[in-house]
Amino acid sequence: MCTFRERQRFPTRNYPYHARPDAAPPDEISAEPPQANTLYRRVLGLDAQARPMTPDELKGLDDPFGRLLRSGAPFPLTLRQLLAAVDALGGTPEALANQLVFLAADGGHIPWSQETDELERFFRFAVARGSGDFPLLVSGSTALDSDANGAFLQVIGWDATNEVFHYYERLDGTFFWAGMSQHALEDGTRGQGPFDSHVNGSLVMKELRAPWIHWHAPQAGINEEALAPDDRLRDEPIFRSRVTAERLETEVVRPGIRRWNEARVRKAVGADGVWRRVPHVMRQAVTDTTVNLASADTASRLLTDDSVLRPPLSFFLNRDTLFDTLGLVPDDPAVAAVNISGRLYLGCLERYDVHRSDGSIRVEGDSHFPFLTPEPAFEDTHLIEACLQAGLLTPRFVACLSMTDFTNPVFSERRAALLRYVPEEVGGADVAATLETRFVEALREAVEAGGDGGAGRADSPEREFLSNWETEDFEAAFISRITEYFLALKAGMADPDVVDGWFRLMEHRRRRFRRRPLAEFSLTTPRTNIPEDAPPLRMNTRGRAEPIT
Amino acid sequence: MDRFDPPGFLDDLTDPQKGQWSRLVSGWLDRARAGRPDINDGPRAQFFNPLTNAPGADQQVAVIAWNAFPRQVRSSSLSDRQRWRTADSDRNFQDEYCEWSVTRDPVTRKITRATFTCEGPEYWDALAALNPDKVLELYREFVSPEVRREDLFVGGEYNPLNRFNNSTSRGAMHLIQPANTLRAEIELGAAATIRRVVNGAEVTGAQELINCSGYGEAGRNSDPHIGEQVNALARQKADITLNNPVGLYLHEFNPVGWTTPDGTDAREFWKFVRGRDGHFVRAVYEVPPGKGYVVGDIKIAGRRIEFGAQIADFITIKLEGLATRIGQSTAAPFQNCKFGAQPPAAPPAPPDALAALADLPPRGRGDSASAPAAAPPNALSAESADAAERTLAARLPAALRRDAELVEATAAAAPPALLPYPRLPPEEFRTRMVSGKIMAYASPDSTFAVTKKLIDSARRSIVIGIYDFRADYMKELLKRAMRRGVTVSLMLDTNSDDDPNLFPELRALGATCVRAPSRSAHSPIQYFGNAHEKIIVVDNEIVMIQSGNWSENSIPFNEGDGEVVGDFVAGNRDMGIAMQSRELSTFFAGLVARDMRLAQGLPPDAQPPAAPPAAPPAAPGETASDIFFEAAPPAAPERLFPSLTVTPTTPVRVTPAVTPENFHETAKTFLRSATRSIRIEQQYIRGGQEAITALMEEIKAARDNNPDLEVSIIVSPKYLFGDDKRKFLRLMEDFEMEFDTNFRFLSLKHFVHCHNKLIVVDDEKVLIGSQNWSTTGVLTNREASLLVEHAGVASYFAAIFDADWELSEPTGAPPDQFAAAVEGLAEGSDFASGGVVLSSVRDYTDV
Repeated sequence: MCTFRERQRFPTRNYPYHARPDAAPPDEISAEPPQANTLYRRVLGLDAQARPMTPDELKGLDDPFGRLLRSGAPFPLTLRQLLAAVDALGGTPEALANQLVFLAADGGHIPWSQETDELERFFRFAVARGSGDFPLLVSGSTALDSDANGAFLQVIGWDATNEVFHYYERLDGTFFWAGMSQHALEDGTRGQGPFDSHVNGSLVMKELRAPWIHWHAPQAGINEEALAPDDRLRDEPIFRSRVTAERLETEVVRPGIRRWNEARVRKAVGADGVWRRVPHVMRQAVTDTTVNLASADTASRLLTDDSVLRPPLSFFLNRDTLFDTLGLVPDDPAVAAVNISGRLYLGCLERYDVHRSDGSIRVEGDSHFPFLTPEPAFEDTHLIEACLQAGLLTPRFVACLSMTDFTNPVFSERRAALLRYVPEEVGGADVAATLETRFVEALREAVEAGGDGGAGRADSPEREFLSNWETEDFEAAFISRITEYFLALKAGMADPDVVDGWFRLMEHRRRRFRRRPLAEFSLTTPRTNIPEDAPPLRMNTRGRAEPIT
Repeated sequence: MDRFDPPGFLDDLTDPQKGQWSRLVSGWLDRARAGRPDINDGPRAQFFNPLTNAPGADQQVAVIAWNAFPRQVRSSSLSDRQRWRTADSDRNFQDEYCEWSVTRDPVTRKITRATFTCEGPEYWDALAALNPDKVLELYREFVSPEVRREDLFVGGEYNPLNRFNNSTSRGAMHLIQPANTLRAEIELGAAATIRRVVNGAEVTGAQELINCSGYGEAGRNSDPHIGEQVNALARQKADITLNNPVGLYLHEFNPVGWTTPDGTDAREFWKFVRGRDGHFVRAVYEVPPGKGYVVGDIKIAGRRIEFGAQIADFITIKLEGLATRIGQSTAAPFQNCKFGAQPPAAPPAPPDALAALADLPPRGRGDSASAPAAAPPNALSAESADAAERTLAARLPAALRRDAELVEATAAAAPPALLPYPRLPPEEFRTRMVSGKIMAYASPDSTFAVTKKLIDSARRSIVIGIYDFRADYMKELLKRAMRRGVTVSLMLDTNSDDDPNLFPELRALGATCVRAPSRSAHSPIQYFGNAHEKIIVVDNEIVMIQSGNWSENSIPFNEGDGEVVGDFVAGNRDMGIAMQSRELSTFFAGLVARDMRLAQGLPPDAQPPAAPPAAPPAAPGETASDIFFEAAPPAAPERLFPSLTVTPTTPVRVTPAVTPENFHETAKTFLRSATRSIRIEQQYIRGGQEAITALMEEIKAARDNNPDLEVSIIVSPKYLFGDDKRKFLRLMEDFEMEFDTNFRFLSLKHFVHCHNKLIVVDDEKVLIGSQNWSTTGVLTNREASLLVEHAGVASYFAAIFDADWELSEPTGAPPDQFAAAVEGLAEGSDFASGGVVLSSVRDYTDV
């Protein structure tokens, strides 16, 4: 008899990728039932219907899985078969001997009980294969021997020849090619199919930082207690070989994102030295094309009135860009030690009726680690670092952009408003200087003209940027501003009203996250009684949450 | 299986010696299995010794792996660069059972080689005891051909903190971070086999388990994860042990995203150099000569390698558990956490005496408390200690010996890497005018009587910041106060599990207990080397500032105030002042509260949470005991002094003198102000330390200005030997202090030890508190004194000093009392027969 875990379906992990039941019904996958052992393509936005890939197209799939599928061997249709097929490459140049198994489940740290038996936790494996680097990442449900559509099986392979990831999914007894990294950036296919979550054509691990909430991780394992007593997964070798999530971050996902971003940057420069489609890059500097999720790293169950909770630093600012990329970091780490008393935070949990729910089953309390909040995505912040290294951007320019509304590291409409001044192309001997000059000129013109967007207003983001731009010794000045901000945060951290504002701001950001396709699972974030249409909030430089006016 | 192999199947030992190693490991496992039933932490029925209880056919090896980069450093840093720099600065930060040292090109400063080790110190202790030649050979092979025997062995004993193994730049032969020991691993593995049920629910989470079972440091990558995974096996009702060979191992190194200048796979430069068969204990990362580049030219994610820590990011460490008889264990879960209710079954008979342990002093967490291993130890070096002293020193209790080894290291080393302490502004240390009563007291004469009276008088609150608290009867006084509804806040510089009950017991009654933000407390947040103050504030009305800890010798249980009631209990010479002053009480209570906030990672001026969290005591492990036994002095002091209570007729000038803020300057000014007399009674005066020389310069200046100025100094002769003694005598000579005339040793016929910190000037003013005369005491620790300008109080202490002076019989030359002190060391078994005192290493610790 199947457990609920095995029966679990993943509607967001296969064509047509609709999470919501009210979504339009899908088209037929293809005119004819798919043929086994035939690789089809269906790139949403390009292909109205699936069709077998042509021999020429197949040759373009120069990633480990593409090569495996065109090797003539029968297609492996289950996760177990797929891993066995990769194992069978041992001794050949295609060998990918190293295997790392990771386990994720939103709500996976909630122990199994009769009451939680049917809690929709969406157990899933991520299996990385490689020999050193990991060019193959397989993601599948824990129904290891199922080839049913609902028990999803997706594969992402790095194609070193073409410098792209290829995305595959198993469906209707065969495999479909759902596109490659470049499709994530093209107008017709952006946001379609797998690129609704792989927004920029890279790898996704939402929880890309300790304590890796929702993953089997050093500070919180997903162990047998999460499974029914008779669940055979307990004895499954793949389950037993799982390793902790920091290795997925360090050895698989971050390197994978870097690999693709660096390839993107290389491809963005033409042979003539001109950078094209610069806004595609810059939107990742000033908007959130996607987000990661961060949390405090002490388990919620340990939170008491007398303990303290340290919100993730990235709740307060963009630590990746400001601290790591730009080095605008206070020397003394204690400057940023913002701690909230357990009593105040627990008060918020009670006041806002914080709980988890899959829509049917309610579990009281916060997520396994508290203060779960969206943070700037690594695929955004790293792209900017790559552009710095490639010479498109200067530290000063990035700093001035990042310090615009810097107290709101995600979902900043103010920072996003700057994107309109980015030129489509830049070239010349000094592309960074050209880009800055044209950007600043356009922005000054808008300020002077008043502009429909309110650029001329005293508090406009354009003026804020210009003020940053004109700041002398910007590094020292920005570190000073950051330090003052933290002092303000610390001054407020014992104030119940201030902490209440931070909590509501966190929940506001979570609501923004939940509206995105990336928010696939109900148990990814806790729920509150704060209405979905509550006024949007932002953080001001005094460290207080305030309504966006 | 008939014996435990050495870690990594190393072949450094002969076959019989391997047998000795095996017996040692076997003894540790037996001891770990027994656990501590008295604190609900034993027996560990699901933990077994495979030598005496062979695993079944279903045995499974469980690899438990974790990242080598220290999580606590990561958590407390703001950027990658910050965390790498911190982790590379001191081996004490490298607490994930992996330590490293880097070699740099002397010109370019680029890294040319990084060495990683996970060899436990116990193995090297054993190797040194069994085959010292091999130790030297291995150091020469793996660290430097320059290593000499005398670099490694002091008085015939192996010094694990030798200069070729105590830094991040001169080599790393084996683990030295206090928590990185095999016995800590064994203890953790065993303790985690206990299943625990709290409020009807089994504890299963990594953090919840480590909190409940108290088997490690929650902030690490390793300990919570190891514990959780072991406990998960225990929950499958398996019997569990550590797989042979018991050890910690370099698991994997996977440099994904690294780029070398010539495209060579960065993995090629990683070499395991000790261990075999997947059990590697040492690795080197180095580009072979001829490549034209070095490690520092390799990039990780676009950044050059500048720190060994960048490499550590890609290393995993492992241990191997072994589970067997899965599903068969009948061991019942324990109810409640460690220190909670009693275990479900009676403990088994204790294991056989661990004969092998007798030959090898244990070492583990918490026994190098006072300083990082940042400089070569000189105190016991061949150049500075003669053979007789070395022989005697070897007989010192382990923890005391370790402290002695570190004395000079502390003085000579670069300051330990502490968080920058936010000093209080100067105005906080202004002179106050005190009109309330002032009590002066001394040990062994009256301290207990006075303290008991004041603690018993408490009606609302008691705030304590103290370095050492081992006297059980003081705990009882606090518990009584709490039962009366008095709130107690205790900040303790604890790093030992010698009294694991203190915090839990007091906390259970509602006390707030916080580990001090110091290195010696092994706090994750370290602002001070030591939190050495002794501050007690009662009802925010009375503040006690004193030299004595709450140890049995510094507050001996003499109920009479200057008179013998029952039997007289010998003790240290200590002194203190209690002052009825709301202003000063507020100041010192605020100081303790501020340090508590710092200890919790809060900003110093934050409003505290309603009740700050109780930091757990330091992780348990096998620790060199902080308690030892000494012969009691044969006689009581000839005169006992009752405490003095003064009710000032006019307000008295009182100035707080606090380290690190204002003590040094205050003391210098104070000494220079003397015109007639200076009396100094100190535990020690360290020679060769600039800050102390500066104090002596002030005395000299006062003498120059006042040729008739009388200077009298008493220090403790206890365990004064080697360089410490030579430098002290040299200092006295340099400043024309003559033995008998200007300085004497406290009589050990009448006192256990001189633990005092007293200066009396002109019979009019007294400076008294916690500062020893060492650089750390006067400049960097947390310390607290009071400068009281009142002739009556000053004369009281002067009179006691004079009595002590007289008890120190003139001998013409400084006597050598080291041998006698060592001879006076006693065994615990002597305690019951009398004539023995229970001493705390912390009363002797060099701070």
